[in-house]
Amino acid sequence: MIDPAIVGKRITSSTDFTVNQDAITRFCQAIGERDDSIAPPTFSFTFIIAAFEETLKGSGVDWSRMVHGDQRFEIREPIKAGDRLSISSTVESVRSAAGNELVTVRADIEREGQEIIHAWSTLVVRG
Amino acid sequence: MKLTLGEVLPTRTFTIDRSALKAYADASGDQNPIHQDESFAKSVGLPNVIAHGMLTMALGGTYLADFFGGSSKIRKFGARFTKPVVVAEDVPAKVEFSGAITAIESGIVTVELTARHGDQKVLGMAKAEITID
Repeated sequence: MIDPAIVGKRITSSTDFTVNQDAITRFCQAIGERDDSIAPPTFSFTFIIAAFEETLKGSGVDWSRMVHGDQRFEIREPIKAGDRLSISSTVESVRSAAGNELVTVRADIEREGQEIIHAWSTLVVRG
Repeated sequence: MKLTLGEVLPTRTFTIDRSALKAYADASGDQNPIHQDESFAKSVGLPNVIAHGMLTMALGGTYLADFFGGSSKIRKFGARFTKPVVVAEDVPAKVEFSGAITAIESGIVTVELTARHGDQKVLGMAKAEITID
């Protein structure tokens, strides 16, 4: 069972990190995108998921039964190579449906103090 | 870019084979064995290896970016992962994308995206908001 007390928990990553061109280029190649001058819209999920794992640590989430239910992005500015980013993640909701447990987590990605991307994931722990 | 409400975008099919899953696993860091190891996938009740949902969604992003003139135009993008895309060793999956323009307002178009693998819709409620010039 996921502890409902986790709703509202917010963790900001302790260190900023820098996006390198090689990571963007490899991601673009893997998804058939020819333009690697900016990161594609779903690129941020590659580091968001680690932040979510950290935020949900100790909450009773069984990762071995976890599947990705849905994903949503709002992109004010795309990520580029050389960007120094920080990420905060917040647990928005925990609920049960059809015998499964669903947790929705939001990521806020900042570049130099400006929020550039918000992303929401619903993770489903199969019952 | 001249677009009309209700306009249907040309379809495009992406082929996902095992090497594509390996490339996406390496590029994304998602090395979950259900996306690469057939015996593991079957041991957890799947018919075979399945594609990363985020790979299917990302291909949808590529489809939209190509049509609308670049991925920087995509301002909102969301999808549900409704059915897994099964990728057998010798049978690459062919995922066909199509889209329809459901709103045009203040330089932003809304596209409802459909992704089909065979007769199954593999994304649900897939929608993007895209800036147009």
